[in-house]
Amino acid sequence: MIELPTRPSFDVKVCWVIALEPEARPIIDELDLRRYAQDLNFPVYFNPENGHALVISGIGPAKAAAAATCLKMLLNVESYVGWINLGIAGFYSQPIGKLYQAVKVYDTAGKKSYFPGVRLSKILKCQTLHTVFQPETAYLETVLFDMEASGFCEMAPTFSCNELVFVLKIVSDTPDHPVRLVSKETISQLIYQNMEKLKEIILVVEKLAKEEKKRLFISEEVFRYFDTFHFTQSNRHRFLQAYRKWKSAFPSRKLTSTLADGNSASELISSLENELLIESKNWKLS
Amino acid sequence: MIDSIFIEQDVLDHPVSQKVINRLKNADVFEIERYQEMFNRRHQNFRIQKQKPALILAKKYDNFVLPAPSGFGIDAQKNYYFSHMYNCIYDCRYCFLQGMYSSANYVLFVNYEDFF
Repeated sequence: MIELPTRPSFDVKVCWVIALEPEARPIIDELDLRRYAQDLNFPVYFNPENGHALVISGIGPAKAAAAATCLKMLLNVESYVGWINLGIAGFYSQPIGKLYQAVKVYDTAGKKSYFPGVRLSKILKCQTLHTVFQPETAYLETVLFDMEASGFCEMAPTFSCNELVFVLKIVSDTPDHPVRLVSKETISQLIYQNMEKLKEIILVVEKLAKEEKKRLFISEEVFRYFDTFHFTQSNRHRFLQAYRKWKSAFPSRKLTSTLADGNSASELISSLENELLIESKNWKLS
Repeated sequence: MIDSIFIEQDVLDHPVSQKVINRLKNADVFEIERYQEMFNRRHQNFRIQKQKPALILAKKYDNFVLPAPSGFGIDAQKNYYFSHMYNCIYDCRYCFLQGMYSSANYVLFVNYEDFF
């Protein structure tokens, strides 16, 4: 039997997927992340106190997708967690160092588009981003160019949801300042100089993740019914669906009062649905 | 206020598109091929999207006027309906139609002339 490495147990709020160490270093420092195990395929950092985790993926969309998956599996990341891909990008015009949110990510090889994240237009400008397989040197289109985002956008929404996935890019190279002139030190410098905006973004993403966690929360009392009665997979799903609606309609009511007479899974589901149906007749339009 | 407009390439120059874009001067405009690229895709979160819906300007190609399902007419033998927009600007708690799509973005079909 294969022994899995011991998983760190903490409540993850935000996962970062970053291609290069110089891009990740300012985030690691700012969030006080610590290295987790040395023998992993991708370097993973985390901080159990603030709930942030980070993986360094390397260059390319496949590596970004693989690294995100590795982080998800390693930390058992829940479905309410925010995912951020941060990095540098080429752009057709100055200024270098400007931070953008990519709201349309186009994979030039697969010819597929992704539309990640809630738009953070109050904090930063939004742009279209093309993921390319070679560093862009022509800058012919009025879009950002990177080498990872499409892989990240393919995987990350399957771990949480599209609206909790964010692609943030900082302009590092333009036709006037080609990519060959961008050093490791410059990359870290560009991230550091956007730290205040990044902190604002972190607060928004943490808030969204918190709200989503609350929305998806299933009380312990529900699982007691799963232990007591036989639920088919389909009934389990129906029960959870009915429970969410019921809880939204009666936030302070206890399940035991509604389900006292239920003797089977379908009777329990019917009790919840009936109570909702009766209540719906009293709903007012105001 | 709508801060982002996604517009199909086919209706970029349509007068209705231009009118909408001119009215929403502060919105960012992004080109898309077809609205299905971003509307009702898997893994979308209606509740979060509803906090800040985007406007998608699109072209409708067929099924302009459809027969109303039985029981949904207005006391005539033949009843029809049409949708020039998907989703709603309101967020009414009792509205069961909100469960119809997994997207909360608004899709506006701008080629009104083709409905007639």
